[in-house]
Amino acid sequence: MRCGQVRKRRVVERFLEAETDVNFGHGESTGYNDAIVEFDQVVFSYGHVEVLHEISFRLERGQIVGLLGPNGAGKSTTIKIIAGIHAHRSGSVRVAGLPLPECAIDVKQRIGYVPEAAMLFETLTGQEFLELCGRFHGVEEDTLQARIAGILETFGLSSDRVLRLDAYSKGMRQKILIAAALLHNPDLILLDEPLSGLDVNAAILIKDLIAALAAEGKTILYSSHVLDVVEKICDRVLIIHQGRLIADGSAEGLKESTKQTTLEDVFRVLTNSANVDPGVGRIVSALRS
Amino acid sequence: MKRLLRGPAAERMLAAAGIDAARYWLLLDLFTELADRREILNHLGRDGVTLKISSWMFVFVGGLACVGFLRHPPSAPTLLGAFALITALLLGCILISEAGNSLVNPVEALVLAHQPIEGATYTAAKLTHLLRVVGYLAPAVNAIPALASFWMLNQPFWYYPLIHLAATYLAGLLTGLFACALFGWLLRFFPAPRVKSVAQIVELLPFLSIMFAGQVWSVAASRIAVWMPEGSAVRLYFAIALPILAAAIVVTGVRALSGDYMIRVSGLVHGGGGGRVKSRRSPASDIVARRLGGPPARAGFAYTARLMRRDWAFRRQLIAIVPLMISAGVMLGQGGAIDPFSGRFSAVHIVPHLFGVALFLVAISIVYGSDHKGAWVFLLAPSGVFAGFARGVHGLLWFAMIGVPHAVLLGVLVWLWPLFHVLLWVVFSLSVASLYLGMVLRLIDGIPFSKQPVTSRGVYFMGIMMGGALAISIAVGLQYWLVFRSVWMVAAVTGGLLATAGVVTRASLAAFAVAMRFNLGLESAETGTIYTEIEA
Repeated sequence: MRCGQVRKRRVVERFLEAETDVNFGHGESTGYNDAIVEFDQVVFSYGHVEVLHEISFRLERGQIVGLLGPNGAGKSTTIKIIAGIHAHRSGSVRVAGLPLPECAIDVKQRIGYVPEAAMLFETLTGQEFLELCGRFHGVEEDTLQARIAGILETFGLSSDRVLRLDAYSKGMRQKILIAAALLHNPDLILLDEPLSGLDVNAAILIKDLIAALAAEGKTILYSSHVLDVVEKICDRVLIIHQGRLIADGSAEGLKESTKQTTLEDVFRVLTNSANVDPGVGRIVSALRS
Repeated sequence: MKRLLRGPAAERMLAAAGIDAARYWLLLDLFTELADRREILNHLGRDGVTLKISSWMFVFVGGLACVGFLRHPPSAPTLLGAFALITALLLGCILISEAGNSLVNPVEALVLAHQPIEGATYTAAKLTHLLRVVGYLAPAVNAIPALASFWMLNQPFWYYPLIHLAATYLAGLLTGLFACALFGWLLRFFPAPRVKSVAQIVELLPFLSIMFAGQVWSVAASRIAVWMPEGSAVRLYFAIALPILAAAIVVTGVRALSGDYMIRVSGLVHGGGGGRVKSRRSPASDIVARRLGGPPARAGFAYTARLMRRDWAFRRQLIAIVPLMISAGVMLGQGGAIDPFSGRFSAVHIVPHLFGVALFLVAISIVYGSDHKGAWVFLLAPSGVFAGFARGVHGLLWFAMIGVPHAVLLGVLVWLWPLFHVLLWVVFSLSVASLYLGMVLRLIDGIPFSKQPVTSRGVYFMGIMMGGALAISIAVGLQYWLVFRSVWMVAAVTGGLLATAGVVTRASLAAFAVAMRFNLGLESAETGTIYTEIEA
């Protein structure tokens, strides 16, 4: 077994240890097939401003799907709709066969979500915050404590578990958010810029963890602006631009169809940001004035 | 006790109401913990310490209210009715504001939005947390009246204190439920991004009801006597229908909070944040930049002007100013025709001091804001800019709260008094208000909008306002008896006040700039740097 595979295996083993008696959802059959997320003609608005225009896609079990797009394209909004945080205006969204927003609570049981902005209760300690999240998901106490200990040790936060979160660095807070998203061993993991603020070792660990979790049959929707990471770890890439899905396929397939050599080039071509030089020139000349 | 309260029986009861018991207890513990650790206080209701202090103040208020009954011993129903009403009014003032904090700006719910929590469970936990306020304050108001009933009632009986405490607690509880239902109805009828703005108007209701209760009641009583004469069947039907209607309003209102509350949380918190805002450079800011200190002064002026209009936490802190402005308008309407130089006393004599009260309220509230976490940008500002920034903030407060209102007053009064009297009075009022502004600048304890709002401040507010009212009464008396005897005396005093305002403002601006730097930690850091340099 190669070194990378051994490391991935260890990460997953630590994370999943003592999981045996846990009910990871409601234990009932939802009757869903291979599609864990079905997004059909979804429209979403903030007030009168429509930000998603009839987007449709399906996510299959065990896939790692990259969600790309320029700032304000609608990536985080898409993730929040899947997480049951926002209600779409029209179209249909089903997660694990359950319609949203009607079954938002059942869906939330089945997903892990790492938000883009690290909102936490600052006066709680890392341990207290993770306990709170695990208990909300109904994880048995013994299992919960074992998982918290395992994850914190893996993330190198064991000695900081009793510190209040306001004393944590950005990277440490991000680790806590990732830990909170994984504690209940969800079927679908929604990651919105998960590597933000993480050091190199932690970023490698998370990338390995993502691959290992996908191998366990979990689906990962990974939103990021770091295109080389997306290119390396994702089986499939969705590109959203101005609220519309403009590309859906494997990184290789997209490169081939657009005749580009890297995903970054594909992104530039598809989102019409191929040439940034005039903009750079304008900024520099404005600074000179 | 905790185990008993959270036993299977309670679990069954909660489940019958559609509440998930396990998550309900988790949320209750979380809210209590966060409130006691003083995190996001403004969104979770008062912490234990604040409640205890408020309770002691309410014990005093309850005792004070008893004094009126000592001379004319009432019957038991009269005493009970009077204190139920007092309890409802006092708690209404606090609970509508608390419910507003808690339900339409649920910042903490953003952290929990993706957790599997039913809207009903979350709302129930929030309401339970709010009812802590009733648990403390209703008995506090009624402790002395209940015990003193043995001396107050015309026919005392031994179990009256128990009935009194139970009935007034129920009145408090109903007030709490009504306050929550009110916001439930708002959520039912208004889109989530608009609810926060509408809630601010709703929070005015207790103040307005106290101000205009007398007039409304006199009109209502005369109408009731005509439509429902004594002993008529309509009165009986009305008496039966009223509680049923009230119960329906409360139940449907509270139910509206429970449905898809967690999905609307994001829209509620961000309010109209997605809306486009027209932003243009005002000519006033150009003048401020030219006269008061360049770009830093313009920054202070524009920053404060924009956030005063847009910051939700600041606007709701200043709700108290609205009744003040209404009463000032009423005063001017009633006494505006009387020339202050005629020797007769009128409400116009009080108006300059009302500006002082409004400026005081702004000064003690302006450092608190919803987006206090954005204050880090000031850490990057070179320390030399704070003097200019302070002048910009002062310029804005003077322009918006003194200059513009006086220009309006000038336009109105010029039709009522001789021109010279109008001009002299307006300049006098300007100088008084400017002096007040110079003084209250020292109360601005940091960068505007840079601190998290603290509910415990309200506890001391009543005492400060009572002291302020006494000081203003003395100032108005001196002004009427000593100054407004002749136009020359007024002109001389105005000159003196303007000079004093200039001196006071200059000193206060320096203190304000230091306060901003001190609160950012720059003062201590720079002091340390100087010390190290000397040492080296």
